[in-house]
Amino acid sequence: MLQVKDVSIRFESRRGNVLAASKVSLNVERGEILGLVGESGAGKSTIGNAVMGLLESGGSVTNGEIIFEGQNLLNLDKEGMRAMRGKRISMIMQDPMTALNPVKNIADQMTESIAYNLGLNAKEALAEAISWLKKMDIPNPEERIYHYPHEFSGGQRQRIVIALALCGKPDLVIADEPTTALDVSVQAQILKLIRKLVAETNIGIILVTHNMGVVAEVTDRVAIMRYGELVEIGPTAKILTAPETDYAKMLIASVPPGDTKLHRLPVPEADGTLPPAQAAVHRDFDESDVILEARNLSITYNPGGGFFSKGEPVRALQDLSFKVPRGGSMGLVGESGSGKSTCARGIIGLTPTSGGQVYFNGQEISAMSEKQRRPLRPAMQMIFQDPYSSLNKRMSILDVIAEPIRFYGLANNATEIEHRVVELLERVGLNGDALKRFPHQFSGGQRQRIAVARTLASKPELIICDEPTSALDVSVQAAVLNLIKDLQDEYKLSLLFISHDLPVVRQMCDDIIVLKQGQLVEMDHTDRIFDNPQADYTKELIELMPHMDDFKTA
Amino acid sequence: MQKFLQHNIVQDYLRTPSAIISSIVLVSIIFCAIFAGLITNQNPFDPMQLDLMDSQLPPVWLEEGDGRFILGTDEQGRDVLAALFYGSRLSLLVGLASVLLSCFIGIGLGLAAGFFRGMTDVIVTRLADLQMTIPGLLVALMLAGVIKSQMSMEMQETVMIYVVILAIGFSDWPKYARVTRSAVMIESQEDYVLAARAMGASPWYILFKHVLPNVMRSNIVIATVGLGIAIMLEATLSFLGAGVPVSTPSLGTLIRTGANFLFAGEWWVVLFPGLMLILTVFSINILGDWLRDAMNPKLD
Amino acid sequence: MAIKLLQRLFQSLLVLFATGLLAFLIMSFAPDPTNNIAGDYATEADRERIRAELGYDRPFLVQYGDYMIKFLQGDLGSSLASSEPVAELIAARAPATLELVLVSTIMTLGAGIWLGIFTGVNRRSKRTQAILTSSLLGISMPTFLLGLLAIYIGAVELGWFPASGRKTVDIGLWDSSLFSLEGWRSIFMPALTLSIFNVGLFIRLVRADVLEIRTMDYIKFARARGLPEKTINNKHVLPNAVMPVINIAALNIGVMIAFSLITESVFQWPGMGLMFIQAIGFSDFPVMSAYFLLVAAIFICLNLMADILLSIVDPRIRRGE
Repeated sequence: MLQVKDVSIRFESRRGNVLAASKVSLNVERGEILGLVGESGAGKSTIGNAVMGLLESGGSVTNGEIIFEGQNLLNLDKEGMRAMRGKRISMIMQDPMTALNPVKNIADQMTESIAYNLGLNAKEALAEAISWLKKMDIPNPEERIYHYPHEFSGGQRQRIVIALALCGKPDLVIADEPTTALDVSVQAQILKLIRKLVAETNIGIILVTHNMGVVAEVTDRVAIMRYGELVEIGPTAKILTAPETDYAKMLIASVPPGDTKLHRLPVPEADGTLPPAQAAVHRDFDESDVILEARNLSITYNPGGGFFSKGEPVRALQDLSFKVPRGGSMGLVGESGSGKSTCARGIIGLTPTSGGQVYFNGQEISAMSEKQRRPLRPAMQMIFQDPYSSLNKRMSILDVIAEPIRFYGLANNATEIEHRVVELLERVGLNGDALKRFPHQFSGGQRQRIAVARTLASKPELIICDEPTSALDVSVQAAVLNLIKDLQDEYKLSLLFISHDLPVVRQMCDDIIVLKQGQLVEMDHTDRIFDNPQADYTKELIELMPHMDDFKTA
Repeated sequence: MQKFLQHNIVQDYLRTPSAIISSIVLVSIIFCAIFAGLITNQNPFDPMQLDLMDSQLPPVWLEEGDGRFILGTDEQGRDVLAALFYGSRLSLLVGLASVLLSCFIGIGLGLAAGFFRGMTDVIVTRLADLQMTIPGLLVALMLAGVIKSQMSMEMQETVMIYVVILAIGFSDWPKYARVTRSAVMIESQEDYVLAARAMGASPWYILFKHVLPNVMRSNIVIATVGLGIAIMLEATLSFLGAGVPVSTPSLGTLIRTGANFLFAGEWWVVLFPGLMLILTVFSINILGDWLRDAMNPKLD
Repeated sequence: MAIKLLQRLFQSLLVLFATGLLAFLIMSFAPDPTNNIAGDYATEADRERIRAELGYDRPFLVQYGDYMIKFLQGDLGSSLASSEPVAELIAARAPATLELVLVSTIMTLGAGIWLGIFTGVNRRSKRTQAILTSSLLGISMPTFLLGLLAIYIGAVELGWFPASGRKTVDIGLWDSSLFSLEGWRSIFMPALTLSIFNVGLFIRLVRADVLEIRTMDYIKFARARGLPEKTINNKHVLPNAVMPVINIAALNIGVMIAFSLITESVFQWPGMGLMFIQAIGFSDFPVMSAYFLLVAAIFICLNLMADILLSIVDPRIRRGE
């Protein structure tokens, strides 16, 4: 139905020209979902926008053809292309919070599209719109249709967005990361809905996503892109189980498996070959040598009310007790709002604790003043989630990494500091050239390496990792996770590892704590939690993990 | 230190003719203002150097023009061109000083409000809101007017320039405070601030070492636009008689005195200071526009 | 929503009283009138008695409260220069200012909204560039200079308009310039002068808002549904631009009331602004502080009205978020 042939796309801006896609060819048939995957900067959304004729300003197709049912869309004039949109080709947007016009009610927005694309009168269009909402499982559609977008939940809004995209009865729909902005459980529902719509209406869908789990869940075929080029295209089962190109192999290998614990995630060697995955070896450490202990830790904070109202205090964490042995790694797992990050912040002293004690190397740190605590600080460090935000963009890399060295007075002079920083940079896989450069000149993965180097600068014993890879692309994530494991082995580090991503936690941790709304659900050794979960909530979480494994075993 | 970042902006600058032209114009104006004493052959505000025989001469390209006075003279025989340079010296000085004052007050209060929150924030925000309800012109006029009325003529001669700086400076600080406050609030949420806190750094360390350098960018943009506004405000105050005294004239006072002779046909006494004023502010505004776009990667 | 509006009303009153405090402080610069009333030969006891009669012996806050209550009742004290009640002075001059601001506002809103939207919708056309450059020039020109320019061209060179003053006819309620050709000729140049800076400002603010709206996802989504550009502009961009435009308009009218004192001074337009400038010259503090407080009060009312209007227009506020 749709054929993209040798398409190249270029962007011109005041900061120079960029080739966003180069000679990309792919096709979509009726009744099929094509997954278009790639890491950031791969140009996958750009292809979707080009098919829609909606490239951002400055972008243009410089080469190739986009043939839809025998007609080259690039030859259409503005008006012709507009006539295609909505009626023949449509689009589902990523963020349901911003995709709907906030000052018009749903009836206005839907009837406008329906009347325009299907040529119905106002009354017929309204009936049609209501029937769409019914199809989307919006309760009480006759009344709800007159509501405004802000009166619906995120999941409902995404259903309305889908209804709006489909109400012109298009043959092809481009879904640009349709579930990325949603919670895991809502994501599952929306994917099921999309699957159902394809089966019922025989439309074709291009599903743009970065998430291999989503690909495995719903797509029939997959196209993998990298740096604006198509790397590999084929049936989903084949690509996921037997990819041909090195990049596809690497990409799929770097998705952390949820079913086994590997020694290291496979990352290509310098010559591009991919080492085979090895099962984890048992790590040996003394369980009784405790470095960090929390006893009945509680954290309550007041979200600060307005002028007239007092805010209700929020109990972010209640009565949590656990021990981290020296050299071990403890995982804190839960959905957003579970209190896992709050717990980390309470331990390192960013958030005041309201009850219980925290012991570090046998000393109670929760009751210490900043002054008493200062000598202990170098030994306990933290890696933050977003490397785009955790490095001060006005500081050179030298200053970023040297800051803790200077702050704690760990070196005698400037040459010594610089020497140490270069050493740290090399340890995390960067070289000394980076010293005088600034954070914005590095990629996300490189930045996170710099953040790790900074953390190591004060020779810590315990590192708290707060979702250290959730802002990174999957192949970069694999490399950073491996780095953290290497460093742990080399320096006998203890880790407190926080994540919402269960497969990642399985790879990284010896023990796991599952939290829900500030309360302990389950605490056990990693393998036992995954293979034999006790609590219903844990079972549910494991159930919702992306199921790449289905293909691997198939 | 920020060589690389500025490198980007320099590149952008070289690709924007309007920014290049306006900065050249501005630099020339500043040059003429600073070295007014060297490049003019008359100090127009030294009565000893004036000759009434030379009064009311039109610009040189008109019939009765005199080669010594390219842009003509006023009723006291002042060289309009020389007066122009001396006048812009004061206008630029007052503009710059009052912007610095606004920045100092605004950024200081904004930092405090954004960083310490709570009561400090409430007080600063309310003060800024309060002052935003009154146009800056009125605040400056009121301040300058009231203080001027309390001073003798001799005092005005020496002190009034500082009063004008104070009045304009105090009329424009809320903008900086607001921008700084919200920038601080955003920056404080950034992980690099948390990282510094986790390191054990004190609020002052974080404020000056981490937050301040990061909020300066947006302030530079509004300060550029603010300079244009301050120069216009000074001229307006002087024109309305609430500004600097005639003995130490600015572009505004030149226009004020010249306006009396407008109907007699001596348009050049008003026109040239007026053009100078517009040229200065226009160049600053073009630069400000460019700076705002160049520093905002979201646009284009 | 009603509660929110009540809160805003309460806040507005607070701001009014805070501004009132400033105005009252200005008043206190005025020379003590006791000397004038008592004369040179009065005893200290006489002075005390006069001070008590005038209420000057009361605590500061009581005097301030008294001042505010009188302000709200319309009693603004008496002018030091002419000893007429300030309220009467202002009442006599208010129509001139209000008519000037009204005509200017219509010019500004008409031209500003239209050009702002035009330049926002047609991002890169030649005409947009020309309008934007003109608007930048507009905000680079001090109003008083424009006034002089207008006088020189319109009155001295062309002779089409009077150089200064206001021509009126009595329409029963007040003397108006809006009901005669002479009146219109006298108000045209001051109003135009007053509006040019503001049109420049308005265009830029409205354009920035329109541009921002056009980058929103829902606009892209509307395009993806095949709606024609005209429908997108009229039904999606413009309804979202209404809210910011209301705010900008409220701000602008306030600025124009303040800036009218420049125009009035240049054109010798007999309004409140000219009165204020003259009062500064005479150090007539009661007039100064009354004008100051009055303008602030108008500003506050305009903002409050904008808020009310917004809560009617914007469904997110109307139907509570």
